[in-house]
Amino acid sequence: MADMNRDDFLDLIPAYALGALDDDERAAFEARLLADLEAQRLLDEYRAVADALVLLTPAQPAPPGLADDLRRRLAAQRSAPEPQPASTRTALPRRILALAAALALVFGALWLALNGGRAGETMPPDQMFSELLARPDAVRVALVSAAPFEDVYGELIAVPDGGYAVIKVDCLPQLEAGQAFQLWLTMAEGVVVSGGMFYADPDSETTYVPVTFSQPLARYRRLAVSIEPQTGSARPAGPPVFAVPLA
Amino acid sequence: MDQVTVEHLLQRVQAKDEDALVALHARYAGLVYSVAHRVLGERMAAEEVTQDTFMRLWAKAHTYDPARGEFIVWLLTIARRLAIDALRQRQRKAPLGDALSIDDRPDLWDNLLSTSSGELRRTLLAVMDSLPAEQRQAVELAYFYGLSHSAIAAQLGWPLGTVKTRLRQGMQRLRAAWLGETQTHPAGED
Repeated sequence: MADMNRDDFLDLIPAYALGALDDDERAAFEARLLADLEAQRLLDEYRAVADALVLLTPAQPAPPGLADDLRRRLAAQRSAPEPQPASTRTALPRRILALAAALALVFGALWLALNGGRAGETMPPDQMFSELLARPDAVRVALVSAAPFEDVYGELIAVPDGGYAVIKVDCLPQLEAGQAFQLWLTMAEGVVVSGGMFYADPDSETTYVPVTFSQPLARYRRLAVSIEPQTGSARPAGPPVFAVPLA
Repeated sequence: MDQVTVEHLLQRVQAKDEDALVALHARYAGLVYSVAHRVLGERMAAEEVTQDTFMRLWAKAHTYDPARGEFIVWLLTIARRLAIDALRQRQRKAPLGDALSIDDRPDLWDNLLSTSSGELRRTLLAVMDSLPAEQRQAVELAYFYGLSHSAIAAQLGWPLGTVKTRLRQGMQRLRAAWLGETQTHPAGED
């Protein structure tokens, strides 16, 4: 896509608004979108058009019984035990601490990863997540949302011997034009390094963020995400969205 | 039910008033089910997505921002995304055929949309009807089934470049219609 002229780039906006770009196209498109405010404005219009397409759904009456079923689900949820608070997961086994410290990306590198483009990987991150789930030795750490984004939830899952991990996150907040999510890694001595940029999956309630790491595990104690300018920040400046306590 | 009433019910849902959620369900479950069924093509799966949509509303009602558009569009967008997720999990192939051939009860949309959204819906329907069949098919496969360029090409046997062109042209015409409507009937005008 590096050779694509601007008209060809703009021509992809409608498909991007529909979520129809292929993985390789989407990663390259998003990288170019970062610095193009006109394209972002045009994308906002096409997204509004895409949202309105739901009005074209042929209408049908709902089958009977759904209201009663809804009440049963609400009752079941009321009687379900409270989920374990994410903070209790901070008492982690040593192997998780060691694993977490390995979460490192190239310092200061800009990187976009959604259900699609990812450095050196051919497997979609949602599939990577599913495969990691199937591993009995996989390590899982819950996300801790930051106010006012209390509805953000999810988890990180990783291989215990390091190498890669996937963050599965739901209900990421909507970004304003010119913004992106930025990953931060807090090292053991308190230094914070950038782990790259990403956007929420526009076509799903869930976003999968693959993470690759190459630094020693013991050097990191926390992973966090904040909202920053699309060009990235040298240090966290925007509102925090969630954190993954690793130590 | 006007927007103020909907927002009042949403506030009650945020306060965990189950009756308020059931009231919204009574009003919108049909359309939510319609979206889910449009994507999944089967009743049980569509019912599951319908209920998941309202349980998602139960958990995330505070995330609706009236400044970003009508509640019904926001809710149905959640339903569409959940339905596409379910479709992908089932690894089902998107059905071919003319989506507009499904029984349509436009009366079920009556009284659920603002005047401006009702006009927008009629305008977009007219534009979709007027699109060449291939453009309409490309848009529907991308929007209602979450297919990418290459997936559409594989399903329909079209060259990839042809898919991109048809999808782009269809959306360009829809955008032109949307621009015309939003300028004639700004959001919130009833």
